[in-house]
Amino acid sequence: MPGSGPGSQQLESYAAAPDSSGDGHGSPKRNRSLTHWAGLVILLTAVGTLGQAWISYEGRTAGASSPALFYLTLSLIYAPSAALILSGKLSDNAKVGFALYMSLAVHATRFLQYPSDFGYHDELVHQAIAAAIDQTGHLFHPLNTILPEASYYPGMEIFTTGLQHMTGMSLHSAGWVMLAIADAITVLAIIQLMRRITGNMNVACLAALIYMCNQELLNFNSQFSYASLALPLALFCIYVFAMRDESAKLRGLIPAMAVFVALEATHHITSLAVVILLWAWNRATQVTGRRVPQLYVFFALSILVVAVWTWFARAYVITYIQAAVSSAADSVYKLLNGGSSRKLFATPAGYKTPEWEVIVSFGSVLLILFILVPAGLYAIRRWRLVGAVGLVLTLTALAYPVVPFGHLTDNSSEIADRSAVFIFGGVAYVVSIWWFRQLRTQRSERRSLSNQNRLRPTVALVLGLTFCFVGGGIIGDSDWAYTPGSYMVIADNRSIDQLALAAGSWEAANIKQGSRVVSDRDNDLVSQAYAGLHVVTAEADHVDGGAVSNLLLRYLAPSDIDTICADHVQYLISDVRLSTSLPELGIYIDQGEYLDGTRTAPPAVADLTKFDQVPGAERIYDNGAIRIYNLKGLTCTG
Amino acid sequence: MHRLAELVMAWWERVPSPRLKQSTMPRRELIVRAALNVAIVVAIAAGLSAWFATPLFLVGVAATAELAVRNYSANGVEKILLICGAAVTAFILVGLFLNFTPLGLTRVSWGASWLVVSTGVLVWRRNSATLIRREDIKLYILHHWVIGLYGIAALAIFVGAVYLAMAGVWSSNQRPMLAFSLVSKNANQVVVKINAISTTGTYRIVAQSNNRPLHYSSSPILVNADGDGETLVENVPVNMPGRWIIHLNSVNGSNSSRELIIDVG
Repeated sequence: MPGSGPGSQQLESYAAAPDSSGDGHGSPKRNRSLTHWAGLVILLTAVGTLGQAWISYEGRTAGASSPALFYLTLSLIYAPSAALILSGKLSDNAKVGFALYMSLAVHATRFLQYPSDFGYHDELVHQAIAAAIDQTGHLFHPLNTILPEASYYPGMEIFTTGLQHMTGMSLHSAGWVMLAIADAITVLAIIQLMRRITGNMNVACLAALIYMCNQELLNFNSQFSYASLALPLALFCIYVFAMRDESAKLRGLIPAMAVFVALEATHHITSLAVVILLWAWNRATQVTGRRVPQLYVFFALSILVVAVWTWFARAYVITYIQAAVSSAADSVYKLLNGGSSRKLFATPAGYKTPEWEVIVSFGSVLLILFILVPAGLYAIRRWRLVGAVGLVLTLTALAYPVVPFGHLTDNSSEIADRSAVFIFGGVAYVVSIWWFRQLRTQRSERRSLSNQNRLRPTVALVLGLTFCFVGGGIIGDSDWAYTPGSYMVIADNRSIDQLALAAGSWEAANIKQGSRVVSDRDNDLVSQAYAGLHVVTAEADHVDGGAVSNLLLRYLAPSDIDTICADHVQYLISDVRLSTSLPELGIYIDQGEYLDGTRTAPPAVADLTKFDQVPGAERIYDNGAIRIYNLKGLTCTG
Repeated sequence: MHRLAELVMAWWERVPSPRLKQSTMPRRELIVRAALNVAIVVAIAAGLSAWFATPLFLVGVAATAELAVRNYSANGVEKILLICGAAVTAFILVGLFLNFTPLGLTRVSWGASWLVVSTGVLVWRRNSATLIRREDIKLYILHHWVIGLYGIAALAIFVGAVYLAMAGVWSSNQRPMLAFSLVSKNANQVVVKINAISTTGTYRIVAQSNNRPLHYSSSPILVNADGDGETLVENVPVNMPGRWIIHLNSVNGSNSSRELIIDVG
């Protein structure tokens, strides 16, 4: 970045001194040995993915999977590559190559869990948006009723459907190509940015390894979702700005602005985060006294782009962000006033995280906090040296406690998780420069030690990173959420099973697209993504969500017929398996549903199938679990 | 045949340079790049299988993006980053533009856009020549063949992993399932469908109206569905308007009954 690129005085102070063994060149015998070590790492990584495929296979055929094996095979992918990268024996390009290979392998494990269909909530929402673009040839309409504002941010779908049209791939395959490209951009952008900031490839690669410990890596950021492409675009946008031709003045901003427009078309919060970052960077330059040419102009233009697009999507995006922030603030306020907190490591349906996972996740948070104290103090003490970008990243890192403590309430946990992708950028920077600075200052002491003792810090670092990597995965989601397995009630990937998909397939063949339907959270997703049905929701249709949920979850009341008539509900999809358990995710349909927050037992089968008794309501499909009712024959008064 | 080859070669040598000022890109490279761009459009238009079209397209996009960002990248890592990022950005911006055209985002409009953008890059970078020397390739292979073998082994393991994961999906899709649904109805009959997967048994369709005595019971229906599934369509005669309950019951009394509730008339 300007004023902070390699060679600038403040950054050279962090650059590790050249390591005689770090140039990748040595005797032929040593090079051969290194080649075989590298080959072994390549094979171990592949074996890790094979282990993940086995977990996927077992989950589908036997209905169960071992969380320990899940994290062990993931560690088999992460740890050997991390050790090789940090060994100091590879050339710079080889380090980057291994970081990229390992990151792609980790992402491939997500593909191996769901190799034929998307299985998560946001994935199905975006599948529906992509299908709508494919059918209509145009963006923004029809509105996705489950996540309305997502229809106004179709960048990810544009790229994926473009790939789909130009290659003939299925949407699922095109989606995974998109995710692989996004992953490559993320890793390379982090490494290149950190390299420009710190002037050292070792620091940059360590930062990338630390960044991979954030809990969203295995969870949200590997899903077919707009945020998965937005984050790489955000990093790329900053990088393109940093490498611009300053002499070209405003013309030099065109590439960065083009990327920013693409980012804004992809995700609201991420583009807003970039604007905040630019603001903070600009403020930091005022503190450090080192101005960055055109930064202010870029900041102003980015605000303009965000303002214009937000105005365009104002009907839904403002409400969406407002609701998320206010509910999080409300729940935190309640918590501070002695209100109820979230039950950690357990789901409302009674699933409890294994004890060893609880220990590892707490341990990883404590480890990060423990390291952040000296690392943060180191960066703060030398704030004049770290430059404006370093200052911003340091302040970002200090926000880390938001990530674990945000999990104390339901509403703030999602914000905490999403913010982790930004905060970990700061954590990665602060910890990596601190680590290498410590090594450098202690180098003279280590020279007198044996080879075995020299290895100890690196071994400890790799073990610590792997520990945090596993801890991040555990914090990210329950272990069942990562793998296929037996059916669970309202558990997204574990609820969208063969029976749900069979019903979706029947709907696609027999129900007119755009028909208005009411169902539970997961069958809603299936009917929208596979059959193009219009799911009636409070957000998009401005109806009373509680009254709509009564149609599925409550006993029959006369007001139900009024709701059906007023909201033009044409079909009801009822999954009788909902009566077997409380929902894993806490709600059957959406927040504000019937008995939300007070429910102690699942709905009775009689409530779920009450329309059997209602004249004019027809049961037109039954696969044992899922029943579809046609409500068009109901008599509406008035 | 020999003569034809000679003619082609003679034509190849005589292909005039494009009328572009100061073009230093070798003619052959220009032709290869243009041919690749056109081949992608042809593949899109012909609806070529994804197994052929995808590698062709990815190579074409990478070659075009590399040409576009060549002057901005200082090393290989930066080049890969710029190629990926520029391709994604270009796709999104082109898609936004296409949305405001009458054609929208279709296969035709994407194909046409590709031709325009790739040709534009070719014209823009007409002075940039690609230097690929056989000696460099040989040297690269000589230095990296061992790690390449490990890479091939890893690729084989990964292909095995994909196959294993897909085997789980195929197995899961073949779990027993029995679905019963309405096809159509009129005053005299209701047409119903049975969809079965990995289910074997004898069933009977039973219809009754408003809890009145049994009206219709079908002859036994043999369902013998393997993992690929079986679909049976049956007619259920009805003799009066009103609410009908149509059961699909197992003859041997196993607990696998399905039920439809239909208003007739």
